Amino acid sequence: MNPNDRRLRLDLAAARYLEAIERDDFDTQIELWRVAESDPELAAAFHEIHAGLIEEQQAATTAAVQAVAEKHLTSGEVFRPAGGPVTVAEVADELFRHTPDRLPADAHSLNERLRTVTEPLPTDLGLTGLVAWAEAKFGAAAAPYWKAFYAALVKLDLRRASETEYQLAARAAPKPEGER
Amino acid sequence: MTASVNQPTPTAPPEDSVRAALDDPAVRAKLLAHARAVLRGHPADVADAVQEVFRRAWDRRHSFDPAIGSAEGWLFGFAALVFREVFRAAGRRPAQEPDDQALWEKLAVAPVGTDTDTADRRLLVERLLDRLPAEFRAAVELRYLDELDYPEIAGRLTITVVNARMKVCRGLKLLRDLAGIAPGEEHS
Repeated sequence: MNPNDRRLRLDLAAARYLEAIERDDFDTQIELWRVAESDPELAAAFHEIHAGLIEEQQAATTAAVQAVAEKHLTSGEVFRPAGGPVTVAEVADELFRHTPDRLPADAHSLNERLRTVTEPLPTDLGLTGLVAWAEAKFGAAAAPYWKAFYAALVKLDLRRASETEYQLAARAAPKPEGER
Repeated sequence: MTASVNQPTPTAPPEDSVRAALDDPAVRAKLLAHARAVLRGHPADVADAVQEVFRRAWDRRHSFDPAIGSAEGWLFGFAALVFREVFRAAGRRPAQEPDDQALWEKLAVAPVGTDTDTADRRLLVERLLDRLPAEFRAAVELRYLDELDYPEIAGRLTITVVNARMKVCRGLKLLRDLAGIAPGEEHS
């Protein structure tokens, strides 16, 4: 690590600032802000630390609320927004919570097994492709089960896409260069 | 008439810069986040603290010197002073132990000198990295070994950009603690 490395210097100052906040060390915070007054990049790093701390506070609050909800509202469903492709376990879990009528018993036992499979599902396969892929991996099941599985996959896919769109829409657009 | 008489001033007077910063909703949002992060109090108290910053900054706007930096930078430095007072006024106790800057400096020392020095230093860094928890180690390695920016680290670890910075900061803090240990104590 090079002492002239500006990135390292900025990161170390940001780490020191984070520690100063967590220790309630206002003297160090004030000293660091004096430096940041003439260094917009350092000030931006400090603002990111604020945002990061708030994100962590929110995550801790969410986890606490979820824990209480799961303990006391056992019939409720805690919805956790997630990124990345939908996994086999997520679809199986959705089917477990919203089980269609008249599924054979062996479909239930297969679904229970799939609730532990964290492998991502391939995209754009269609029902036939999905059944072929899934039966090759997990064994055969009744047609109604795969039909319900596919419907649950589409539902989760749509939900995830709308979350992504919502997050993109909620993000503040950067100001054009001339307005800074 | 000389050309200079009617020409507009090239930069806004300092007071106007402070006023512009105080009027900027983005600055207000950042001040609220600043207060929330450092005061960790009830939202109403946080809003009151920010209001206090606005009131006092307006009273002290003449002390802003544009030669030192931007009005926004001055405002956040000023806010840090106000937040310390607010914190104390609420009966809370700030840190009593001073920050040890020398420990942070240890992390910034360069691998200078011979190739042997560099190799030894690299070995030391690798040993220290080995002792970091996986989540922090991954972030620090992506930042300093792969030299990635925070958005790239966030993409690799599928986390937010600010979370990527937090993981690097926390990793550096742990490295700082480890670097503060005498070499003989490292493996204890």
